[in-house]
Amino acid sequence: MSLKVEIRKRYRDFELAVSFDTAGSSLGLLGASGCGKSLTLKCIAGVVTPEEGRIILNDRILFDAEKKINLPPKDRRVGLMFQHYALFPNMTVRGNIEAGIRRKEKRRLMLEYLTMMLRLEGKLERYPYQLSGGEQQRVALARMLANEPEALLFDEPFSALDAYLKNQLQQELLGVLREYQGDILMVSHNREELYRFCNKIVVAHQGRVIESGDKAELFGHPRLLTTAILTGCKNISRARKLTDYSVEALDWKLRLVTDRPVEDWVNHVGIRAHNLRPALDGERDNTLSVLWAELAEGPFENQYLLRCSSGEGACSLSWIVARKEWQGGLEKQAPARIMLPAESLLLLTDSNP
Amino acid sequence: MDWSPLWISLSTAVPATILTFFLGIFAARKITKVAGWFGKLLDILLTLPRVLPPTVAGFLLLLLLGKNGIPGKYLWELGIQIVFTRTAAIIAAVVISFPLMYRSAKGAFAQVDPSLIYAGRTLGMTECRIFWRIILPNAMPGVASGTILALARALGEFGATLMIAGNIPGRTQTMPLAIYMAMQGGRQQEAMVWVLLLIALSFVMLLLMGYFARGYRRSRRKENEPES
Repeated sequence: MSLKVEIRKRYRDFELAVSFDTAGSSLGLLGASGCGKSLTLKCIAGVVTPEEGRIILNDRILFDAEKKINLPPKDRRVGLMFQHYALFPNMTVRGNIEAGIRRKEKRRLMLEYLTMMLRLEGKLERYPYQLSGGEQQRVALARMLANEPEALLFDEPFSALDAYLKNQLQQELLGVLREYQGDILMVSHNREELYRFCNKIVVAHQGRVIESGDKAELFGHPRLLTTAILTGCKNISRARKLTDYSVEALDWKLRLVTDRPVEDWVNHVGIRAHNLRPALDGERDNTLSVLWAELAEGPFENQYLLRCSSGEGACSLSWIVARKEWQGGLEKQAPARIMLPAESLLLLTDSNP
Repeated sequence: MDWSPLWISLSTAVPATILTFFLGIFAARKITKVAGWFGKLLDILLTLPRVLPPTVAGFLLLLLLGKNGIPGKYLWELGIQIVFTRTAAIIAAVVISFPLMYRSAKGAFAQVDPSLIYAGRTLGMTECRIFWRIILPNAMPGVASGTILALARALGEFGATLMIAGNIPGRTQTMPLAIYMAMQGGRQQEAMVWVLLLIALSFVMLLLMGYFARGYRRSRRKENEPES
């Protein structure tokens, strides 16, 4: 099971040049809007033709510019779920699902099976606009599965939903996809979504793949500044290597000890807002004296903006702390020094490969 | 009073609209795919009858279909005369009403969400099926209002009809021509009857158009705001 993609496509003054391999697991493509994620999916599904490269699904060549192979979408056996589902508004749920059924002789069986699996009983004669967002998504999934695809592509599957529904639907979709045998490729700008659904993550930036790897590794130790930002790192400083196990954070005016060796390419250092903690008495390394600036209260966690007392005006850190922890003592006395634990530091570079 | 202009008008405008409907849809579908300057040229040529005086269209049609024209000459040799017949009136109405249908259909097709078409393709539907099952139904409000506009225009056609079909009472005299002739002959009351009838017909057609446009907006709104 694998989907190998290596394509190049020009679109006005934008150039898409991505390559990745799902290698039998579910792959997430993370990137900000406009980085070419949707275009990549359209190329794989065959509704847009790239200029160069190849797309291979389980040893079947879907596209090869050199060999002049370009299978039409219907022969690719690739299911694509569009961002807003693209259900046919003029057809009922039944019509939508039947439009996707590949083997027409199995129409009745397939429809029954999908209706049961995706809990669409009693909804078959409704039109898409009469369905809730979640139901629409299940119909889109049913229609896609009816076509018996060898790979499933999802384009921002949850962007059209509100937060409460999103969580519920993610659980549901996880359940359905667990049974699915083929490859899964999901694109999103939402890191949490991809973390939930995918094992491997590829980071795209301005039409190129800049970093990829196992999701835990990629979130834990990104190498590139852009990856750190896309995976949600809020605190970043320019940095300079001092020794093999220390750097100078230029924006924070601070010497930081690291637990990983500092490579020569390191020129930025970052730390996630969750990983900061108040400094204990006697701790000097990796600590910074701070002033309180802003508080953004959340239901379960608070986000603070800390201003460094030593640095210049621009130096600030974002700190996210659970409410519980806050109420258990921090509330009474705010820490004057904050700790940047060595094991949580991200050693980054801004030069893309 | 001779009621034949009503019957002649309807039996001209209705077949003309049916023809225009299919020709307009066909052209809108094909010409959108013709790229470059040639596509633009075709687009202008097909829209031209809308801005030209109908008499210009009538003149050109006479040149083509008259005894010395091509294909008029050959049709004449085969014993088929088109000029001054009901067929000529239908052709005139088609030519004049065509741009309305073509433009409306083109606009309506362009409005259809491309991801619906992409979805159809990935699901293995043929292009033909995608057109009849997805594009056309979803463009229906625009196509329907284009059809009504074309019908209204065909019913009101005067200039080109007069030139190529003539004004033969009982054969090619449509309602607009009857109004003109009645006034020429000083029969104002008779003209008034036709005028009121045409106003009533047009009123109904505009009412229908408004109905389609409303239905269209309603379905759009529901699509954009799914109940949750």
